[in-house]
Amino acid sequence: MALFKVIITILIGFCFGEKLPELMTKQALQNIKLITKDGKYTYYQRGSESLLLSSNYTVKEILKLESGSYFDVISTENRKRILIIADKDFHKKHSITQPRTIYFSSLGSDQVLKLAEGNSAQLHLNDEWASVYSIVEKKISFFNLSNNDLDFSIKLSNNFNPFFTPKIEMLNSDRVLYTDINNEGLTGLLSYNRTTKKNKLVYKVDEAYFKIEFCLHNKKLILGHFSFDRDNKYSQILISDLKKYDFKELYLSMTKDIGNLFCPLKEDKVYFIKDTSKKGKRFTSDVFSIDLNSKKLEQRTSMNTITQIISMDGMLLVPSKGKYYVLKGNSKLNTLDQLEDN
Amino acid sequence: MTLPQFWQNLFFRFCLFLVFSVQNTVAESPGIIDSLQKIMDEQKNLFIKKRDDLRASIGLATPISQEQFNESIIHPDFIAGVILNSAPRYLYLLDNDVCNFSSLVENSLIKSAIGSINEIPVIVKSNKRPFLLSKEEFIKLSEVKCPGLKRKGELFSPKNLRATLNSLKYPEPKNTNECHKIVDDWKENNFLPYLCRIPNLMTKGRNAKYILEKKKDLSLRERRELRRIKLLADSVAERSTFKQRQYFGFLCDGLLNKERFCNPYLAADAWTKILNRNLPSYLLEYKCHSLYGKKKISTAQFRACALKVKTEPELCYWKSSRGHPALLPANNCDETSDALQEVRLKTDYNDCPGLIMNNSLNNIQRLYAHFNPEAKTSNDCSSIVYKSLADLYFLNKIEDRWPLNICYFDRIEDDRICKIYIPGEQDSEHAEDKVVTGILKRMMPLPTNNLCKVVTSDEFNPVLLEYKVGCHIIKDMKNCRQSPCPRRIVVKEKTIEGVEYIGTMKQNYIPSTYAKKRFAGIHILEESLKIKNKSINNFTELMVFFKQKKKGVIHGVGCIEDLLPEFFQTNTINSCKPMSFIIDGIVGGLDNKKLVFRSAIDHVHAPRMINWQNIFDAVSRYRDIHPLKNWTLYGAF
Repeated sequence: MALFKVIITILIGFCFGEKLPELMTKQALQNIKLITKDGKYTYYQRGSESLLLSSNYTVKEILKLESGSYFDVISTENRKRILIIADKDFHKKHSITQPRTIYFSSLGSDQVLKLAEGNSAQLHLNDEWASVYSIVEKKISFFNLSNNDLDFSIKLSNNFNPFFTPKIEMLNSDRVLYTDINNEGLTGLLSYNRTTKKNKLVYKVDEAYFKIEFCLHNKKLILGHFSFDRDNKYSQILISDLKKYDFKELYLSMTKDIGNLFCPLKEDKVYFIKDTSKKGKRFTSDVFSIDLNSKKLEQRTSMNTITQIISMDGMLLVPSKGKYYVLKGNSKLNTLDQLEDN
Repeated sequence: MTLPQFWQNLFFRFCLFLVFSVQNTVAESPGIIDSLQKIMDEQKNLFIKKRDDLRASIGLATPISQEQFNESIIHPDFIAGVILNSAPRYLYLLDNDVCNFSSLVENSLIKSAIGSINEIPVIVKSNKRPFLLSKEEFIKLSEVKCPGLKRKGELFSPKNLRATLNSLKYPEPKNTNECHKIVDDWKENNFLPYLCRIPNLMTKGRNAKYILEKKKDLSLRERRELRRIKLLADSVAERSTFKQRQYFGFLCDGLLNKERFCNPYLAADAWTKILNRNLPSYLLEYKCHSLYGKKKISTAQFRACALKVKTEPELCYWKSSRGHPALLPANNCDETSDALQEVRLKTDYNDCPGLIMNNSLNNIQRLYAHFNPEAKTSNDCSSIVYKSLADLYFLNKIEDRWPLNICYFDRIEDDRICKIYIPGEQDSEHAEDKVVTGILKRMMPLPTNNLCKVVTSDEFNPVLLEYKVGCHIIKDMKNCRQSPCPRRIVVKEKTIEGVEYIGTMKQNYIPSTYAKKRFAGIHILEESLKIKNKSINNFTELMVFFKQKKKGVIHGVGCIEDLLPEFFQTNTINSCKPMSFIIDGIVGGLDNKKLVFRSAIDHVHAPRMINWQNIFDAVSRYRDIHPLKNWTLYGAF
């Protein structure tokens, strides 16, 4: 009987998945903008105007704007620099297209410099470069954070979707991959060569209801081809080298996966949000990963409500029902000693 | 295999002809179907000959007594002609009640071999004596065998038609079985020939109108007859509602083939329901304007457009909102159709969220238009937002807080003067075109008395003559970083300096401080339109709200990354782009309920469907970062 109970418990655990640990922090979670995995640096917002850096038992205000502002802090696993996106009209004006101010700083530094105005920003190439996209100007600006003589920009041709934000990756200081939309609403992946100032089409979808996402991993391009359309469900993830763009299939499913691809730096895996709905039932989704070598598909959460994957200094978090759950990394950041280990 | 309707009818007549030909004197038997027309022609000639013979032998003056009429039968050749020339759906009514023959004759629903029935030949059975009765005489004499004919005639006379039609019930089916029963029940109703006269007359009236307009070589007699039919149709149209006429149109069309009645009511798509006026036409109209690239389309184009979106669902991804920038792709037309069948938001206007920087303004305007559908709107899809907002400020008596001003130095007053303006061309004294024209008149002589025209930088082409003359206010769409976009004034190709646009619309949707609570959009709406906002905390409350408040809609603010995760990806903790939205319906069964949803950046005529979970997550996350920690989901009623 006891053995039976154990088996049932294991089976239930297997079927319904283990619940992920909730992220615990010393600060109120909703104020947190970035905590490093060792707990050494915490960026958080105070009130509706200040961005603070807490480190080694000291707290510094690194940015202060007018009341009603909101900050996002962007980092990578390279841990060299951060980008800060500041929206001074956050509560006054709900806008996707309103330009926000982008700042940059070294991780852990209280020196913050203004970089540009735009809507989204991203770090590239070991945090040496940053890209900023402006929806109004339809322009991606690339900034070398050490030498601004190298800065350049690309103008998008999208006249189709006023709220489109391209996916962008830099292959090196001369080559960029980015997505754009043509006048028929078809999304394409383009390769831009800064020296020749020419674009080359790498991949294009054949219907306006498809989107392209991509990320880079160990000189490989991982490309996701996902559908927005209820009646044309199709999801495909492909892998390719970065020279010939010879795509090979990693995953194919006739489901309406959300996508939101994420390629971690130190893992041979790609994470994405997969449609797990049963026929005729409500839409459900969870995090899945694919092993880039074995192509093995693995379900990583069983919560039915996951729609985003968040990377924070090598940790993977999933938001659900107003909370953050830790998929990978230490969930108890509230217990870490913040003393600098010199 | 089913034969096409035309062949079904022809084949039906052919079979009947075979039955009746036994009594006929037609020398040749029919051989193949394509000789049917020949047979019908022969029938016609035969009938005319017999009628003329009859007229010659009995003379028109010979009266028939009621007794003679009671024991008489209708001439078999005449019956054969009626069967061959009348619509089978009306002939089937004779199965239920022979008295329907008189009613069908009275309402001109059946025809003889020579067309409209004005005379009926009868034969007295005992002595085989023939009589030729006028239509009126026949109906009068039939009253003995078929009591109630006269009363029915009176009920459907022009004097009583409206009251009679209003006293009837018009059951609409919910499923096929129910629908078939409704048709069967109507078949038993001996008012049916009188009711079927209505759509029949409407068709005849339309045809008569068409012929009168198009055919110039009509004889006086023909013209008089067509006018009579048209007047009769107009008179019936005046005394009945569109819905009544449409109902009997479907019903009488579906007497033989019930699906013809059922399909319009049981149609699963919104587009058919719109054509049948079971849903408002504006749900499709603006899509058709975009698809045809016209601001006005004909009825025929509208019908063709409905068929187009029904058969080509991909048209709704973006083509049906072309020229009105919004988040794309929208849902396909099939999914849009599912959503539109449950919507309750009143949306008889077109909008363009992609041209409005502050997206909350779209949501405020949509709620304003819903609760105040009579409000005058603007033709310009972006100006409509500012007009609605200005209305709300004036209604709420806070016009002193209206942030948009145009300032200039007035040489007469020797002072800098600022005047409030509402962007775009509006029906208001504060409309931008009127304010700018007024200012320019004080600054310089203007080339014309016309108002300055508001155009976008994409439209403005200085090479064209129309832009070389007059005054133009050009909206700079390429550098639009605020609401409204920057302006440039050009008079006769010269840019005017010294007129300065001041202020942007930083209108809060919900209050972010207690001090400014009364100036938030949600409170301005409450005060101006006397509506209430009830907090909706869970799905049960949402369901109850929709059940109890038939005109209510749910609105709120949440993080767009949770509302539309397939469009907006985030990689950062606590990242949130707040977005207002409206929910105005629920679709799907018990395990698959979805909410009909429009974010402020979706086109107003392209609703999406999302799960309650998305709404809950989006509002929860926004509450956590909101300064007042408010739960921002409300039921407005």
